[in-house]
Amino acid sequence: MNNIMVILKKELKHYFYSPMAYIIMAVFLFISGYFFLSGLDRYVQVSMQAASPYAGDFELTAAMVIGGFLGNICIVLMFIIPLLCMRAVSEERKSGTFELLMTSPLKNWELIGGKYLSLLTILFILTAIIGIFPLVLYMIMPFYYKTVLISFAGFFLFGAASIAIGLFFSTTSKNPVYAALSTFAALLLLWISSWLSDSLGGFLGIAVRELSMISHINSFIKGTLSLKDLTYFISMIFYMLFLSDLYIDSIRWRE
Amino acid sequence: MIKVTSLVKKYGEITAVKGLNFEVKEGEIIGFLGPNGAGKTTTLRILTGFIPATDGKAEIAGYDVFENPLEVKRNIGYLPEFPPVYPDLTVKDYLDFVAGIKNVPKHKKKPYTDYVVEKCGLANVFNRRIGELSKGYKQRTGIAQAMIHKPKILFLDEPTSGLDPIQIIEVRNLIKELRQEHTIMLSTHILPEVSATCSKVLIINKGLIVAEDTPENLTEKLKSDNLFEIKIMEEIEKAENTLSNMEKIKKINQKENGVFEIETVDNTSISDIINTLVHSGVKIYSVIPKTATLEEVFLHLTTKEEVK
Repeated sequence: MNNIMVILKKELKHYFYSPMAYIIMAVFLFISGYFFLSGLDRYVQVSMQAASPYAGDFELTAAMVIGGFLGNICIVLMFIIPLLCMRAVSEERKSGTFELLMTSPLKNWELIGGKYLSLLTILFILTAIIGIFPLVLYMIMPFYYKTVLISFAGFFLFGAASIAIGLFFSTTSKNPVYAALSTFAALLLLWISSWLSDSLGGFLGIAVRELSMISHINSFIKGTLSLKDLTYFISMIFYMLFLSDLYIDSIRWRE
Repeated sequence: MIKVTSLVKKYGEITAVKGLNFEVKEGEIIGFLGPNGAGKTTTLRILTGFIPATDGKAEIAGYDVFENPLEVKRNIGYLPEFPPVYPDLTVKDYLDFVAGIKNVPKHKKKPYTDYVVEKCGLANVFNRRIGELSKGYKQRTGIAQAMIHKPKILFLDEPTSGLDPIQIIEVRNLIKELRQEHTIMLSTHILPEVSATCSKVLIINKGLIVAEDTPENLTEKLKSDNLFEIKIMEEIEKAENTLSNMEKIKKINQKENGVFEIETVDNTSISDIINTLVHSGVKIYSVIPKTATLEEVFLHLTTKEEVK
């Protein structure tokens, strides 16, 4: 446990001593701010029309505005996470510090754990930043906040699973750019594979759909907590971390 | 402290290390000498537990490298060929991090860090980012990192590569100082380094140990009364003919006009050769028994291997 904290501390220093974390946060804040504003604006326009089914029902619709907003932000996250994760392990391999880590009394899972927690910390900061938007909305006009909390949990789980994927691809290459590209490709595939399921049909169609992140995040976005989808994200996280652990061992056998 | 038995490492078809056997006792500085690609780094990487060996056994401080890697890693410090530093961390943060992953207890962190900072002369760059430092300081930070947890054994892979002559001397002196507290194994392809720092030399070539001795003994061995430099005053051509016709001479090498370097067959008295030369009318100016430098020992051993 102590080792994990040491790695975590060092990783956070890397992110916050370099412009990396700040650039990512600034970009994320800007884009998410824009999405939230435009989503809210659209809602206001629609609800102004007397015939609108949304009219007057602010409680329900606030959750929908925020849900839709978080769905959009997941796509932004898909672009940001490859950049955030790319250097986690690949940089260590490139600069030779990997040798230091591997010749220290440190277990693979402690290394992976520390790196993963540091990335989760950044994701948590990002989530907390966009958490301000609904908070402001709530202060103006209180709404049913539990569904919004579930949507946020879904957003965080999606980010956490994507980070696990990014961390795995970061172990596979010495070049951070390759790691970022493979992560992005993997996330994109996991995102759009549900579109393929309709044309495939049958068992394969179901398999492809269930593999897709999009089909598992929707329930969270709508504000319902489903055990199936929760299991999907948590097993995805552990599976990818397990793969990273194995891959680190395999590097040493091939080096 | 280090015990290696028939260590083998294969990379696919290529065998980088072909069955090494050696032993290092406590307090020794052992020089691991060989040309580039001889298998030095591979051996060090196996001994430090970075890569597994294909076959054979290695024991460090009483623990088997393959069966007890964590215990081994607690007892070693390792400086790879390129210092494993993070450019965006300060020396202070970096040493703090290394002390952490090497499991230095909290209350010992401060005195241990102070000690390596003083030993490696890092005091005036302590709060600077490593990326801004010169190669010499980076290398010293690398050495500081290797010894921060006071390991029993230090592995240094080419500790002076890329340094300027003054820094090289400083690093060598540092290594000699460290001898009192650590057993040290350093690899190098630079020969004077070994004679300057080591108490024992292992010469490795193409994955095999070709010699194992003290630097002095190795030099002594090749001296072995077989090498002479003969300077001729007159009748140089005649001397050359006479020398090249002699069965007792293994090798002749004319260094400059009138100066011959000869290597005789074992158990030959030099007076026989002088006699023959004098009888053929050659005037000899001087005959000097030669001591081979480590460089020559090295060349001799490695080229001999090639002839086989």
